[in-house]
Amino acid sequence: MVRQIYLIATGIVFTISIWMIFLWAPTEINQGQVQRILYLHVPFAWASMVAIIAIAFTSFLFLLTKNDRWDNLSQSLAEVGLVSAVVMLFSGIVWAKPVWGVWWTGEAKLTTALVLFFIYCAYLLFRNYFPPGNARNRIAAIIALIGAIDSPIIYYAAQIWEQNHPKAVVGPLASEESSLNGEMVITLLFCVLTVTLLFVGLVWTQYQTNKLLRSKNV
Amino acid sequence: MLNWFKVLSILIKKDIKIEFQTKETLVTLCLFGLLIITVFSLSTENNSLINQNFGAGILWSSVIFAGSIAMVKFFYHEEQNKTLQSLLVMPVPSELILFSKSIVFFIFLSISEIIIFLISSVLFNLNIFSLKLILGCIVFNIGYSVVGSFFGVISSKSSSKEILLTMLLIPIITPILMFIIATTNDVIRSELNSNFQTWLGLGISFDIIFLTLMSYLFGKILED
Amino acid sequence: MKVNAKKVLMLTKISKSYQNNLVINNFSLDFNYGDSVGIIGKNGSGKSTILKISCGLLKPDSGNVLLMGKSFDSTEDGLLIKSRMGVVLHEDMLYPQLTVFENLNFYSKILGIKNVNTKIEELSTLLNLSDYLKISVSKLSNGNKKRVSFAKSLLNDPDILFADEPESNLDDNGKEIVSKIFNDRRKRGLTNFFSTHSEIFLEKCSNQLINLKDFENA
Repeated sequence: MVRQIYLIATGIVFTISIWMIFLWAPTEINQGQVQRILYLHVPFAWASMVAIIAIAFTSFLFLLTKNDRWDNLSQSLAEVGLVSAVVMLFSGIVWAKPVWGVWWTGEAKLTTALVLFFIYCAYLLFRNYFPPGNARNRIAAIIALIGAIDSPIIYYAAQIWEQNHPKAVVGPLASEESSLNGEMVITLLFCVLTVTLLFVGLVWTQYQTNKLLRSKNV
Repeated sequence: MLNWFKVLSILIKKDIKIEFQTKETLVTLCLFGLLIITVFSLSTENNSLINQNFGAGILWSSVIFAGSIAMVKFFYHEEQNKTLQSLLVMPVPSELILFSKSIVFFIFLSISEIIIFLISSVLFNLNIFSLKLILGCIVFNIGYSVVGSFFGVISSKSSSKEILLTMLLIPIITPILMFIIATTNDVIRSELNSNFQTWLGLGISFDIIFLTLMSYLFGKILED
Repeated sequence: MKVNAKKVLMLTKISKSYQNNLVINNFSLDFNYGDSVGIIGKNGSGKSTILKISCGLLKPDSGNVLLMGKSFDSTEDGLLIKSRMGVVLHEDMLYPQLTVFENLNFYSKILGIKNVNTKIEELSTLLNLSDYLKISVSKLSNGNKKRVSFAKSLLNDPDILFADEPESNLDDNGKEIVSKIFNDRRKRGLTNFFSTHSEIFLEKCSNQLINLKDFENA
């Protein structure tokens, strides 16, 4: 019941944020309409980054307490985190082409995001392919921890890589940075809030679903 | 401590002896690697200027994929005959199992890299032999063997070993993969102004972090 | 926790479940040095699980295992216990690529045994394996593999021997030999702990019997 009210509230907030994105926020001068992708891209990037830290945290708690609830929460977080990563990657690709002139570059953030997506895949794939039981849940938690420890190293490596390889960016925004005015910043912050609410709502729903699925398996 | 090294060397000798009998891992590694190289060589015009641009990619994709297939083979028998379990009821510290497996795989990987590099330097007209690359390969092979052995034991219990091992292994080793590809690129193009030292620092830190982490966690993945 | 020096094995309130399926519930057991304990029960009643938990191969979900007054939780104690016990399970746990001698040689080196050759000769005579020493394990029959498995577990003359259905796969001669080994060990004050389906074997070799049926509703 609480969850339904929460989800309805999230829906209302989401509607407001769509109004803000398309009607309230002004069009950016350099990039035009396409810049509005920012309001979705950044929040989902935020969500997928926070999710991996959250999974590492819940996995650690699971290893410590051996309470199945933490394991279930890690799984739900990973499932929603994977979706966030897909939205982030796709919106990024669509945005990059008109603005930078390429679909993809070797920029550190992009590489890290892509590898992050694969780590989510690996984690969920493992959960599916390994015989279920206590051993699986424990190893899954260990994999999540390893993935979380690895992500900053990947980011660092991608940065060194970037230094050697000048960006192949030729679009209208190759040299100048975009400037955000007040209304845009407010819209962006509001969208981050919206996506965070949505993220929590989805994890919550997924958590309940997984709980039901698990109890059915007895 | 003396005992520690003794047990390690017994474990390593055993694995090498088995490999001499079956020759499975090493043959898989070399043949599969060469096969990928051959497929690539069919698609190029053997122009060394062009090959310089993607030589590193070809070399390392063949090593990575051949390596992960061979890794599956390497752990298949252990799981099949439950011999890993029998070591668990013997007085063997669990991290020694990881170390011995990593060292043996490190040896196999290095041998296969020498063969793959020799053949591909002929096929693609590349000049790749330098001290820098050898140093890079050693650092890369350590990281790859340790992380690979860790995930090799995990995935050996699953029915879809190959896909699981590859999916787990490759994202995690991305940092050293970038390191070795950057180094190979420099060597192939004989570029001098590179930040090899930064890369080497990254590679060595990766090895140290994961060696510590995985030898600590290895005991936990073995128990059921 | 009070450590009883007379008890070789103490299981206290062990529980273990596989995939939400509770196999062992609140099971306690202890016996003295020199006992020969047989455990019987239906298929799936948890005989093997109890044996595996006792020898440290499986970790119980809850409860405590003390072997010779020591726990597997401490790495040092664990290694000490392991050097003084022997284990025979359903699986042979041998390297099929190596010969019988190479297998035994490998395990005795791991166990740090002196006079390896004499020991292997002694055991292979005892188990009628002398003709097979130079043959690779993959070419042996199941019965002979079981004998090698026995030889392996007796290499260190263990204080406690765990055996999961020791008489299975063996011919009459083999069964004879195994029960002789068990009885010899008992006379020397060493402990045996095994599971079985065979009443004859149980009568011959055990001085204490545990029927898992008695624990079902406990």
